[in-house]
Amino acid sequence: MTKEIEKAKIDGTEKNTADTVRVVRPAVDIQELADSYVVRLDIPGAEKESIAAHINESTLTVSAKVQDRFQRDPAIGVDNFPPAEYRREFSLADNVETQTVDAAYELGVLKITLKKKQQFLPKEIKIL
Amino acid sequence: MLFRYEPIVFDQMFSRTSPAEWALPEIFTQFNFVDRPNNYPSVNVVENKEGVLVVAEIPGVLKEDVKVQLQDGTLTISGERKQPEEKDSDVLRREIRYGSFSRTIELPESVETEKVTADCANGVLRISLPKREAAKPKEISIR
Repeated sequence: MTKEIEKAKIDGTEKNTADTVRVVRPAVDIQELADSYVVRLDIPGAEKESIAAHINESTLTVSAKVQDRFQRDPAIGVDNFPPAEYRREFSLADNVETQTVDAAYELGVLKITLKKKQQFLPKEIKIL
Repeated sequence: MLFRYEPIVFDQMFSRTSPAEWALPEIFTQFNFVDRPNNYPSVNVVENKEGVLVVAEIPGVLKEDVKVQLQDGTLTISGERKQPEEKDSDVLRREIRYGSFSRTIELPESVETEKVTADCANGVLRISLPKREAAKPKEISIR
């Protein structure tokens, strides 16, 4: 019996030398299919080149930088919109194939497909 | 006697999943949200002397499933987020909200309705509402 457990990083404020990056935890939907898991994360307005999803040991980490949607007004002099980052981590169960991960970003949603390892796929045994 | 139901002026415009939880100096007093307390989808409204900029986060919504309407000095963003079909699957976690949504924002008089533009990319809907020239602040020099 496999269960997907999630590790959450609740407090994610990191102090850099320049800005304080605000970390946002995106909403996620996870579905289990017969041969794979489908993970959908809501990351609207992410900078495409900065979207990163990697698996380290049995943890999947997804992160992306948020685009600046407002023109920063130099006249105001204060940065009202600190840079933000999407970030979320997941613990993967043993049956997940970590070598091939499929990810697509469309309409602000990142869809990650994780295949299950061969030996865990349902098999039908023929009765002779 | 008709009276309009006005929810809290500083109602929660930003949900916890939005990166836009920033304090915006210009928004105080200007914008009344005339619909009943509703914070979905997350909407940010910024106003300066040039105009008003409205940014709504609508991930997973197709362009043909969202409508932006201007009427009687209000802006309404409405639409539907359709659930993707996935046959024979078990739901392990469901945090995403699907279905229809609608948000209405009252606009200041100074907005020039003819010049309003909207664009949607990567799940972010940006609506730009410039102000009429006559309504922009002008400095009068003292002779």
